[in-house]
Amino acid sequence: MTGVADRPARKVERMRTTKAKALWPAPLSAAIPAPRAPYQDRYPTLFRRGHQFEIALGQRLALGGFKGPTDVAFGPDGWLYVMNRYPNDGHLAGVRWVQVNVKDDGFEFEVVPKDPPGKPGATGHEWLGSLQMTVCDSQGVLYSADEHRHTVVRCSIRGETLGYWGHPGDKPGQLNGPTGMCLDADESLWIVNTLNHRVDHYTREGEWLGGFGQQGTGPGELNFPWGVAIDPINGTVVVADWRNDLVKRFSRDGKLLQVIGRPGHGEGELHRPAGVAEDNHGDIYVADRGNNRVLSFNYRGMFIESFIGDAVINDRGMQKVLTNLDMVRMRDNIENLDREKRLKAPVSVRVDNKGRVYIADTGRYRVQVYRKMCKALRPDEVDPPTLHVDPVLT
Amino acid sequence: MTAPIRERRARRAAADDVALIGHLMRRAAFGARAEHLEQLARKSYGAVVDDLVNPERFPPLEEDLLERFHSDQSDDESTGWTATRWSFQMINSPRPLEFKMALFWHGLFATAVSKVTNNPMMRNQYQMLRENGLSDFRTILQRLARDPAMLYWLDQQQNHAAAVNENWGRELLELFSMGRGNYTEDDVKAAARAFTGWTLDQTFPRYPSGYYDVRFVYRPEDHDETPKTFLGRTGNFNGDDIIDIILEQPATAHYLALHLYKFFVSDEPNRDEVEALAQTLTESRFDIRVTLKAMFLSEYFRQARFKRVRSPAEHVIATVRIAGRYTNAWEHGIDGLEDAIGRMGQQLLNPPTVEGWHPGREWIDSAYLIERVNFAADMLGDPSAPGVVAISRRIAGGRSGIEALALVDAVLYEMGALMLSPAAKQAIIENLELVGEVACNPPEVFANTVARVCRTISTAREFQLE
Repeated sequence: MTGVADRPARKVERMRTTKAKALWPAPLSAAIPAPRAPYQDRYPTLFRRGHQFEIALGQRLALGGFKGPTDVAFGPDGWLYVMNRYPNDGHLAGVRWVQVNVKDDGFEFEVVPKDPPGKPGATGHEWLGSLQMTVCDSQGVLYSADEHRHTVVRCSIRGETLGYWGHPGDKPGQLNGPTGMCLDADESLWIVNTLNHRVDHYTREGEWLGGFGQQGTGPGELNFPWGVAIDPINGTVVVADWRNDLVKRFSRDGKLLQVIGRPGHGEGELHRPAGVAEDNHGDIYVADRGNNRVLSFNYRGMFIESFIGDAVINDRGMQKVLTNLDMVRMRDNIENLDREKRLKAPVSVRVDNKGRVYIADTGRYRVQVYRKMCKALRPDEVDPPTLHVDPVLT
Repeated sequence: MTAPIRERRARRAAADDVALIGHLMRRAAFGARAEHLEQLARKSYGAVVDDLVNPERFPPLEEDLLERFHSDQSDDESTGWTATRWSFQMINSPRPLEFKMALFWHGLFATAVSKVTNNPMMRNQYQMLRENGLSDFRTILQRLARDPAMLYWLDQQQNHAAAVNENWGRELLELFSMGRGNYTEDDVKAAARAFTGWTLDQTFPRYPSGYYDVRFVYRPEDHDETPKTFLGRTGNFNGDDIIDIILEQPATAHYLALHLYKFFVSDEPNRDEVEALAQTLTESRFDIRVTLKAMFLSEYFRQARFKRVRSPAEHVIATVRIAGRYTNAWEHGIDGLEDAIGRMGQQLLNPPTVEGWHPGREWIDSAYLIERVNFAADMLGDPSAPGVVAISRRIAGGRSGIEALALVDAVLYEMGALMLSPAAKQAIIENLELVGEVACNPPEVFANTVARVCRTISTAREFQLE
């Protein structure tokens, strides 16, 4: 059998309108990740102003748009790559990455591979069907794991399927329901093997480097974990422990260091957390999927802020609605438009180096983007941070 | 009586118990393999019935893993997904009668997504039927009259005090409660007027953010407040009054009893038995739980084995349960089940008309039969299917071989105490060229043989019945 990796590179179809070219001749640099520095030695002290809603990308459209976006990755070319599980244009079934340009007033265009990556698939007869989380390395290689087929697919940002790796199984290092993934500082991969209740560390070529985890509800155990992030400050591993309704921080050899959040539906509480991300300040963002929101915590595990969704219909969404007068009339009779702004079952959250927070609003066909408003203070401006700060009144 | 005779009689009695409970589980649940039936048979038949009609004694099925491994359905847009979720529940729930009753009520109150076009509305109706299916008919009709999917399906949002739409009022009487011939056209009009102002709120269009829930709302300014005469009674009735008057009619108990009988007992109704069931309904004030319990404990129910053609949903789920498939949420392919059921003529949540499906022999036309046979043969002919593996292990036990006819009997028993005619059994033996004693080793080879027997049994006429 000829492997997918052996097949000639596929031609990439770029759909870019004249208007788009005129307005955005080159991709923005906003989403480019910073060169990954060695781990820093301390978390900064922040003056927080809060997060500001910036833009909603995507939405459900008859042509283009998203359907079930589950994650985003930052390409070295400055584009955002959105994992879109079910293309919405009748073109193909399956999964693909949609290339999106992030700009304040929001416009997108797509790179559509001729075939979804994986057709006819690693086993030669089925498409990849369950890609979910994704990352992109500095070479422009997108990685995603197929949860059902227990394999990792590599695809270039130009649309070429570069190959697959991974062996299914329940032993350490084997893939079993792989989903959550993130890049380490050296661009090695951390992948959550959900059905093994483990987090494993691999080279980009698939060589197993180590990992940890076992099923349970105890302090250091995991129960169907989903998302994973690496702390950019100290390299510790942060895991969304989905069925225990917690986020846990581990050392790289699997020692439990911190439990973040607690089960529930209230302030700072988690219900079936999915994706997790950590920004350069050490703030942790959790896609609190079961509660239809995203929560942020600081490096000490203190709850900071919740994001319930603030999206308004973007221009393309409005154009779609305006083509149908019935829909216009329907909208004119709706009480409480607030419902439309809210997140629904977000699967993933990612942060870029510009302080943007990208939430895959999976159930509402869009990516909601927030911007972090804060000032990092120099060490000489503040006292060293301490674990417990006594409340004071001014 | 000698010890061997006593022992033989005890074994036969135990087998009879398993067969009877197998019958009960096919009707009140979705079938079970002998392994499970033997556990149930440790209790009395009455105790098993009692457990079935009191599902709250058992924990609800954990469905979070289903959502976890099907995050592509986060938008809640697909009615196919709601049907898939229902399939998973029918396969795995420790409270099967809840889901069986949802199937019954869905058939009686047929509402189709083809018109409603909004999955959250269909999902909510299904959940409403599931949650209230074992309560009483008054509660169920009251909930139904406030169900947005049903209201939209029957144009109730167009039923205004100044411009009456009779669709809901007519179907409430004709198809949902009394049946034709028990009311007049004036009763239909009066019922429709009593329900004016019962409507739903405006929801978001599908684009660009997908479907949202829809709520029932009552608009008093749009309600006809004038007196109405309905089934011989006069007053300023509202919708709930109409339901109360309907429940006072003897025709209502008969109509519901007939449908329950045909769903649970036999495709060919027996007038006396239906009458007895109607009386139970009336005496219990239409308590569904009490009525079902009386029916399951009745002699006519116990004797009614293999007298019903299984509906496609029952056929698919029972087959999957024998095969032991889709017992976990991450097994790939469960979303194909609702499609299979649809190809057999019963697309869940999308019945062809408000009359629902026509059960009984109409499930078996040539095209549907091929689908039914192919599905079951594929599912049960797989020697790696967990259920088939379990069956072959249990039959092999510690023995080295088993005689061909005994093997067929053992497989039938393991599949849920099924029955085949002697001629059909002989045909299976000849078809599979089973000669003399079949070796039980090596296990993989024996599992293949058992799978072939299962597969051939699934093609028999009797396998379409329950």
